[in-house]
Amino acid sequence: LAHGEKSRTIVQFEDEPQLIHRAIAGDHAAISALYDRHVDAIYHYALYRTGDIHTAEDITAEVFLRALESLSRYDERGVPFVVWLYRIAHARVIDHWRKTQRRATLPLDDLSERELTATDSVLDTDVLQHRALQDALRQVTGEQQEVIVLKFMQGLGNEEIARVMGKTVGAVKALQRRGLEALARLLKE
Amino acid sequence: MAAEFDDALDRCLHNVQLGRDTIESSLARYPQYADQLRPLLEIGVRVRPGPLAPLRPGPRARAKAQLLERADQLTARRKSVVTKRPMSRPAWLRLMPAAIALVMICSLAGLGMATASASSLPGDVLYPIKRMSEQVTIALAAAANRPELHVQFAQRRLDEFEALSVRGDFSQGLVTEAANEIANALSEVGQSSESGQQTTLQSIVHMADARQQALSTIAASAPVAERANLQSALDVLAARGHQAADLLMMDFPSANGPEVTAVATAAPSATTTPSPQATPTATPTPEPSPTMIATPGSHEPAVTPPGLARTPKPQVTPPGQVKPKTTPPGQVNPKVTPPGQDDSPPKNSPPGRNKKK
Repeated sequence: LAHGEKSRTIVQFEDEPQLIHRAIAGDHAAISALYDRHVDAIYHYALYRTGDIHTAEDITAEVFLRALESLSRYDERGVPFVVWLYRIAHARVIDHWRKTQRRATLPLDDLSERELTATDSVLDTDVLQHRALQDALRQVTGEQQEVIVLKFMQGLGNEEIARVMGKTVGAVKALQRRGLEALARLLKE
Repeated sequence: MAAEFDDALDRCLHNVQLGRDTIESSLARYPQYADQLRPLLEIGVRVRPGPLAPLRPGPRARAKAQLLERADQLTARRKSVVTKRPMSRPAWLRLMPAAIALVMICSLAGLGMATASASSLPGDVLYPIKRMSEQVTIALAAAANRPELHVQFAQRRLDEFEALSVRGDFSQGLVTEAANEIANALSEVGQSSESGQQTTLQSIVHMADARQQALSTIAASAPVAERANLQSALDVLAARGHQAADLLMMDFPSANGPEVTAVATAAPSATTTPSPQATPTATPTPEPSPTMIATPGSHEPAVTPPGLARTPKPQVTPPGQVKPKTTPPGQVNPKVTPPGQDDSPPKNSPPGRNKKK
């Protein structure tokens, strides 16, 4: 595996540059297409990070508004569009934390009861283990949590996470290790 | 060490998630880290995305509507900026052709006005433009050309005086202005080339000679009340002509008639030997010629037009006049005054000039 390999789940849409150009010109169809394509990923990220459905909805709406307003400054040669959206979402989440003066929480009960589909495999086949994992994830640091969410939940690669968080790939790998070590320690307890 | 372990962990997680390796096969690749990697890989494979429900339809629709509304606002703002931009940013650029055209029109109009004003007389609407045009011409002219321009403008003033006199307007001020122009020409003549100096001085002499009769006639026809002042102005003008004649005779003897051969008065044994055919043009005038006055001890003229650094010139004794005293050997002649001239300084003495020989 090469270092900095791209995301395993992020799909690079070939028509995205054209859609972005049309969106900059105010094309409703292009804006709607970009929104429909990425809204759930951003919503889920915000939900994982904030643990509140309404806050996640508000942050998601704000992310797309801010993205639209600064779309002319987006350089598609830099990062994938969705990664750019994640970066905006990352800043919005931090801003949300700053305003509410509280760390992100992952309301496992809410997620398991209202947001998780009951039929598919959830976070794990063992719901209990899943709940224990979510509890542990709430106790790690915000940066460790973000790396784990972006990598294991959202499927971003190390370079993309580094761009979202404004860190180096090495720092992302270190955060990943420390986050997993913390989870292992917490789950062992 | 930590970085290597972080890399090993990252590779193992990646391969296990992709199904390329199991946890055991990954640990076999890094036996040195096996004990540390195992719990982390076991946790890592458990942290997987759950099938989260998508954004609810209501908030999704509202957020999209809000987004499209914002897009319309941005488009409208952008259009207004684009509409305003040509008026603001490159306004100077867009106005440049108009400005150039305006300058050209003004220049052409100015040129036309200046041309049209050439024949204007004092009191005419265009006369100020004529005078302003002269001032601009003088200001822009090369120093060597200014003396001749002053002579031309002196002629214009006299033309204007003559034209106005026909109407019964005896504007003595125009004659004074003509005299001043000649004085300016004399003071600046040293900046011209030798041939230019000669031409200018000849122009002044010829103008003074040619105008003398006509101007005297006009003055005679002027009202008695104005006649005295007018005659005085004409005298000053005539003095300028004589001044030019003196300079011309002393600096360009060959150009002003018979050549004079003389010995510098400054020389202890100075003698003046006029040519047998010599006909001096430097006749006594009400104003002493500055070139004819030697400063005691300096052996140089008291006033020398700029550019005319001359060798002491010989005294020319006109026929019928007493030959000036010569200084006895061993003495310096402190002062030599031409016949008919006094010792008073010239009223309009050009500053000293150094003639390029």
